[in-house]
Amino acid sequence: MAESETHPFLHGLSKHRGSPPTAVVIFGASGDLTARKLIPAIYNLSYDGLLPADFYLIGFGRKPIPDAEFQKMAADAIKEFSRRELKEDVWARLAARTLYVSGGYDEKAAYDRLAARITALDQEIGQELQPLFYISTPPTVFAPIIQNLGASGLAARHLRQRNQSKVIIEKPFGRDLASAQSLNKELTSVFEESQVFRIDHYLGKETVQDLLVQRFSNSIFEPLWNHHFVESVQITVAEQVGVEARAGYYEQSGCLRDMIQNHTMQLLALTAMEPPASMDAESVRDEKVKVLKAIQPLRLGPGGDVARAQYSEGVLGGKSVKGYLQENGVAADSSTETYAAMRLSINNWRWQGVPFYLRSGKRMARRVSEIAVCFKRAPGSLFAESERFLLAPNTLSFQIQPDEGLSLILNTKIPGLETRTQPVKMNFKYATTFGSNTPEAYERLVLDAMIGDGTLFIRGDETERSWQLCTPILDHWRAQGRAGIDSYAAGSWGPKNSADLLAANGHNWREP
Amino acid sequence: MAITGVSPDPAMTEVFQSLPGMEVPVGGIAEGFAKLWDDSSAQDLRAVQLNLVLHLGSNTTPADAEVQFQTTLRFARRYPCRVVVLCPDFDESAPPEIRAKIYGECFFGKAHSDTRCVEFVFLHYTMSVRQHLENEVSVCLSTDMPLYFWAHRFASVHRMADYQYLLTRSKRVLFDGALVPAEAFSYPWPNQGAVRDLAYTRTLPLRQNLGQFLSRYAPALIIEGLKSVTLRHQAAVAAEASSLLGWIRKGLVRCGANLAPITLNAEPGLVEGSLEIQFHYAEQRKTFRWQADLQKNEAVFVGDLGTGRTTLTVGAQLLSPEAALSEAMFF
Repeated sequence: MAESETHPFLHGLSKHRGSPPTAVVIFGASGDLTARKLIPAIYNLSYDGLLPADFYLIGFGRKPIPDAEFQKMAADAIKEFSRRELKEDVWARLAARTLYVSGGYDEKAAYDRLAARITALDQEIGQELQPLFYISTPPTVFAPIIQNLGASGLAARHLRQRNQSKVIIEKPFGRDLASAQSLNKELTSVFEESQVFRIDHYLGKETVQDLLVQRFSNSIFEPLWNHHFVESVQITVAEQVGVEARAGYYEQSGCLRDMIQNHTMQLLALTAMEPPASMDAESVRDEKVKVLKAIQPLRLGPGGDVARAQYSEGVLGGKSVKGYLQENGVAADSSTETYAAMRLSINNWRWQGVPFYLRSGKRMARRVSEIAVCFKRAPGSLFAESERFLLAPNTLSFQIQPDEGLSLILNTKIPGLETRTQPVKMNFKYATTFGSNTPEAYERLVLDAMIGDGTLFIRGDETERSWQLCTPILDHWRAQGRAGIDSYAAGSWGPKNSADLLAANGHNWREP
Repeated sequence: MAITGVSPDPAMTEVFQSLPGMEVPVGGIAEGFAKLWDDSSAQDLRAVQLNLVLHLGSNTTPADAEVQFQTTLRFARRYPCRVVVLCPDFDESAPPEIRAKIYGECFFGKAHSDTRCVEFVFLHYTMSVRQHLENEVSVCLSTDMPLYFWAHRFASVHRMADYQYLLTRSKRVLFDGALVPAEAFSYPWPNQGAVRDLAYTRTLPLRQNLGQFLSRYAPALIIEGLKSVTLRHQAAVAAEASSLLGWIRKGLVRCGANLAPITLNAEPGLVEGSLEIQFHYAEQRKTFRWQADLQKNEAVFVGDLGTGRTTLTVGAQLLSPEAALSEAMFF
């Protein structure tokens, strides 16, 4: 919505500097995400002068907390987690507009109090605030929050106007296809799709946004971006951490739900989608959905397209670490996967026959998220003698985190009288060129939601399509119990059954 | 190029000498940098994102040059660049001479890869070599990367022809309205659309504040019965005030105002650091006032355009010099 251009006195300002007056209401105000990400993001937006002149931050939670105490909690969160230090004058202005409303998530009267408080602010400032609800709670209370936002009239405020109510919702967007459909139904019974912003913070990362720029603004890549030249694509989202204190959650979730269904599928969609007609939200999301729809159903069972595993005892960073089944809070006979991998086929003209390999896991050798596009080898036998010519397939890898950047593997001559070859790596590092103190994903995403730009958010049909692919796997695994679960040593790059997925095509996982 | 013992403009010689760096032969700049980075782990981390040519004009003092140098250094912490600083000796009779100095600095961030470097080449030259100057500058640039030209202080248009090569190739040409003639925008710049006034850019947060506040009112309401606009300012921010007044004028026109009966005045302000804008209406009850205290980084709006009185305190500050540079260059 580029409506910042509509008022004559907003002309010439970027849309991000023209947010309407807004009250951000955080459900789950005393939660971990609020302290680590949301409040620091809002503070940094304020620091950069990107919040509207009339801006309010309202915490909503079960615990009765006076405004002053919530302000102190917020200040502490900024001191601990913000990328910038707390600057008194910036914070003082924000603190003066930081409030708290307490109440149960299923208590209608609490929402009426919230509505009354927003209306009082409207009257105080002489204009109507845009309510932006941020649902940062466990999914068990999504439904009562959404229903009460509807029942209290908060969801429908200023509907179809620039300052219409908006809602940001944190993953998980369901546990399977049925629950995702049910959540979407719940949301759309109260909000219109244009009001809903399903957040996947991966989409707010600069490198992920840069993927589209790299693909569609560099003429050297797009002509090669197809089955004629690409041998395979590997998408890795590897974590070094184990389940830590989240065993309770993780036992119910597992790697497929926690990482593959959302982050890796989004990376896949951005890598494989066709060029959108424009960069507006609907055009980009239409193309993402199209490519997700072109993914063929997965073959399950032995020799199929999926692999799962649990980490076993191992050594990571020089220290011994427990296996998953020995972690506190994990059932001794748990069948929850800490690693999942899949081989996907996209049935369209561009990608026919190109395998897309996705993997994610905990306690892997290194924390790294990357997309690697592996190109076919050069034809001919000019450099076929393997003793003399060490050649690697050209690989373009987008490193999402850490060390965000881009690298290209090329083959080159080793200096000397004889012609011998070896692969070399050309690197572009974001931090070296742009510095690492760039805005965090949540800053960009909160601001985008404030101005109503859904490009970097996930649409309802995207989540459903992704669940459509993943739900049969979950059903199959549930039916199998522990049968077919492989293991991998903590600190390794993953299990054998995952390597077998690639070996069938003569490929190997990268160790980035 | 003849390098002779000359007595160039003492002021610019002093500026050149005051700037940091190592003097090298003009033909030895590349070798000088190679030596500078020799044995340095920074060598493989030097990403050049852009070229910036900073032209120090007449009346630049050593202290002023130091301020611009420091601004550029702070800018380079975010945007690693190759900077060529031109220190011209304006004495037309001085014999040909070019002297060069080089300077490099790296900034370490959170990680090894978060290291950004900047390279400065300072060129001090007499007017008689100016036809060769641009060639000398071109070999100092990383020419695949975008070029920006910052004309710091100039008094007239008449030397513009000397810099056609650079001005034509520059993605943006920057000057500071506070330090150049008022008519600078109307000079025959090769690409008028690329010219940016840093004084105007510095007012971005103020324009954002004002824009967001005024956007609560329908355009017709803003111009209905408007008799005059007064902007009060201290002399130190005269250029910013003037550009703000220009911005208000354009905003009123976009609102549909006929400016003929509306007077827009800039007047001296009484309070240090203050900047104040007031709209005066025929109807007594209509009012709009914005009063900024740039020392406290704060502004207060008072508005009532017949929709009820609103008072609002907001943060208000000018962009820092390095932020103004990046804003003017990239946006």
